[in-house]
Amino acid sequence: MIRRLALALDDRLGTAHFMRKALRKAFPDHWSFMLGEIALYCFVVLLATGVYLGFFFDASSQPLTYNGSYLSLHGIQMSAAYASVLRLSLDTRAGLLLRQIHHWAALVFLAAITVHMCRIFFTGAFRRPRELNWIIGLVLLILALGAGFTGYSLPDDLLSGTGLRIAYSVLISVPFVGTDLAFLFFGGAFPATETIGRLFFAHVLILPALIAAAMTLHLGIIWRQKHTQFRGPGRTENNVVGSPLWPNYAMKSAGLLFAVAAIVTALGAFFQINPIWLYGPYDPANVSAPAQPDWYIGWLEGALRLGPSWDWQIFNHTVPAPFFAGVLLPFVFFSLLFVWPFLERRITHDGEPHQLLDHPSDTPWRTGVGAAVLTFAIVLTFAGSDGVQAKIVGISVEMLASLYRIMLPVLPAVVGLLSFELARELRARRDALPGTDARIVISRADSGGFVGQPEEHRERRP
Amino acid sequence: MNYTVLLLLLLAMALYVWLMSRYDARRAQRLDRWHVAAFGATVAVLYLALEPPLEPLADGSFLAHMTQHMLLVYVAAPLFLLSAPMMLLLGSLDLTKARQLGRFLRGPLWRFLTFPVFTWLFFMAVMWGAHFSALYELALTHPVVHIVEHALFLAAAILFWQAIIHIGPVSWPMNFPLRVVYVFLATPQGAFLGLALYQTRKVLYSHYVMTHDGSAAAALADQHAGGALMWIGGGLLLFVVFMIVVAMWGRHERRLGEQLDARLDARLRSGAVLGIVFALAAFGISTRAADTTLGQGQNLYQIHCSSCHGSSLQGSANAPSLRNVSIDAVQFYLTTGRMPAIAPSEQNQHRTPILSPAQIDALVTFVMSRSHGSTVLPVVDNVGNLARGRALFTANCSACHGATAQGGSVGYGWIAPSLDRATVTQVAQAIRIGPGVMPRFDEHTLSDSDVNDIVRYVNVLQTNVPNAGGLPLGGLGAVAEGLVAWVLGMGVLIVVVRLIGTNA
Repeated sequence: MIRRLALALDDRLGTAHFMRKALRKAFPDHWSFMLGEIALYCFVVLLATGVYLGFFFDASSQPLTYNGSYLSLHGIQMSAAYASVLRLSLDTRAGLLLRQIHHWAALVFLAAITVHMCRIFFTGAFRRPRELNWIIGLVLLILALGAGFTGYSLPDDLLSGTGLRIAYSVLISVPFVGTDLAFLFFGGAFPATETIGRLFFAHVLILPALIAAAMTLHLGIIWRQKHTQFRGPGRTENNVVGSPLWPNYAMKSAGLLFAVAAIVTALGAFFQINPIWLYGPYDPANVSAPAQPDWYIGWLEGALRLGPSWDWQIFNHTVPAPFFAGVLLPFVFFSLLFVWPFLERRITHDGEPHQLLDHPSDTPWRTGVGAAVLTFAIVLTFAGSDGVQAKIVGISVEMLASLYRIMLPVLPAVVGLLSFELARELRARRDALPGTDARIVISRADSGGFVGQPEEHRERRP
Repeated sequence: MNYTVLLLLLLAMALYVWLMSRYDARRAQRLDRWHVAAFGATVAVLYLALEPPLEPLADGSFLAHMTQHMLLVYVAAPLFLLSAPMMLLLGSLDLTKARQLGRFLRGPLWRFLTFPVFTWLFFMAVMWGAHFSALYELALTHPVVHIVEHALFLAAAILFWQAIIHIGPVSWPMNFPLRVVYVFLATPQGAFLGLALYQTRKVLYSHYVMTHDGSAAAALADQHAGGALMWIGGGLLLFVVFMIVVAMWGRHERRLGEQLDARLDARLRSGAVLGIVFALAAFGISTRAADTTLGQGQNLYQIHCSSCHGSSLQGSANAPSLRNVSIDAVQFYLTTGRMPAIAPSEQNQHRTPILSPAQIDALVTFVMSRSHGSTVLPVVDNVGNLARGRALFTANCSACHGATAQGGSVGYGWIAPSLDRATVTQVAQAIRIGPGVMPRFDEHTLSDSDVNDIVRYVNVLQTNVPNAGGLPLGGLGAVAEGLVAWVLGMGVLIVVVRLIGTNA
């Protein structure tokens, strides 16, 4: 049956040639090549659950009086959006489960992107010819951050409203265009009735469509350029060693899809996430503690908390404090990431295409810089929840904030230098090992016997 | 004899005695005499360090000079702090002056100067900097620089020690583990400096070559002796301090343990005491029972409360007066186990009371018989309007206690506690009296029916109805969620891909 279908397709479209090649395409077996796939499958889960949630969500800030099953909110005025999420969570079959899976999958989605990006960075996989895919990957990260934040903001509960209020304040802090930008995204001065509608449209159409398009491009380029691989016996700049797509790799990958789906479903089933009925409808006059963003926005929250309280007057124009920590810092951070492949080429004068990956210890300075930047982001992320930590550890939140202000420059420097030294030490030791390079390749001689000769000397970086 | 120093010391003593008399008069309570003793000891040590026979010797010998510095830094500075100067000053100033001082103490400058990381680094910088820079040599030749140097030593040392000596107002309270770490980290620094001086190959301060009759060898030997003194003597002194801090930590923990024992005992006894009280009531001799209760309450007050609140409820430096206390406050503090307090300097936490319910009743009866405060108890029926309660809770409570009533930190080391253990009455009482830094909500802000509504909602939060969606992760919101996503989500998935993939 399948055979006849395949034959019929081939007959009309001539697909057999492509399929024969495609199904035999080699995929590297190293586990770290599947980190990006975790993100891909999280996105699949997000799309599937998101469609279901979309059926029940009412993207409107029309006020109404609640009379659903949750007694603590009976007779309370709230937006139609919040009421619909309440109904979805508490009165719809499987609604809460799907909402929780969706939210957990979003958190894991961003985590997988982060880890995947670290792998790409520390192994130098972004070097020529893959600079373009590095940039598309970064665009995907920014789109995912946007999708995450708009999703977090949709329920119109007290917590998400607080997040939106912060985002609004950060946006209007941009000099000259801030107010216009804020009006574009929020549809008016905060809190505006337009906001939910715009967020909804961005969250369910614009951002997922862009993510899907960028992901297709991302994977298409990988397909075209083929995978990188770690150094090893028989691996050169001109081949790819791995399992064929069919059946080996396809089975592994399908297994991973099921594992991702199973794990986020288990999280959704057993762990409560964002219990919006406890937070209540948004009311600009109120705020609840601890008001925290999802983890991936934590570094921006941390930057706002640690940032200096500058209010600069430039040509009679105020540049308020949130601009420096909330706009300038992430702008510089992402700019650095975007230009990194080109910056690195400037430093190393290495414009050659690379198919073989570096071990992090091959390039101590890159590993050092990467570890420092990562530490910087991690310190900011932790600083974003200093209030919660202060309560748990039992020291004052001011002391903790001061400590983080000291750690912010100190810790990245220390971690960066340590990683640099460690990588250098590892490289020196490996180079000092006798005989690692003297692999003997045995081949048949023309005369019929076997000859052994040393493998081509392994390329080594200075 | 250096008359300037003598004069200054006499002046300081006079000032202290004058402040003390003002303090005693103002507070209607004497300053603890061991503070006074500590001040006497400070003056004695300063005299020893800065007057003959040590002072003339210090001019000619590095060893003597080092002894002087060790006395200033490791003995005089902590003794001075033990004499409670700030508490004395705050307690004896006029109200407006005291407020100004309080504002300064809460201000950014003082908070920066007393930040433990800063004080530790500053102390170390002064110790190292003074010995390995031109300052020392300069001090040996110019008397004014010498005085500045000593003042700098003393100031750095006082800042260093105030981080762990918690008497009077404390800008950055540290718990005992942190204090142990603080002292522990200082020990090797002092030792290294001493060791560095001990192992020097050349004379650091040419002044001493001159005083040793031009013999560089003698000056170097003297320098080594001074280094050894700092290395071993300083190390020993810091070790003693370290042991004291550890011992105080132990005592603190033991007190917690004793509270636990007393609580268990009280639980055993409470049944019997209650029985007797009921029996007496049943025999219709309620007047006598009330008298007995009053007497019992007075006894309990003298045992558990009078050391801080004073024998006639007048209060002290550590605790407020109870002469106008309301029955709400007395009941709240006793039934939540916040009183009797473990240590006056710490925020009182909700814990199982060490007094039995009958003892608490007796104590309340006694205190209210002496207080002019309100004796009206709140009527809490727990049938309030749930939705109104939720709205009022969000507007008035959740900014500190959190939307899930799990509590949070509210700054300056204060904590808004979790409301999990509070009874409906205790919640209502807390609203009315505002314990700790919590605002007081009177009848004009929240009416009795408002309080009833809030109490009802808190009760619903406590019983977690409906607890939809699985484990609530401590009610901590996105922080706990992020942790779970990374550990149980991403962490497990990394294990999965590691199992699927190879390591080649």
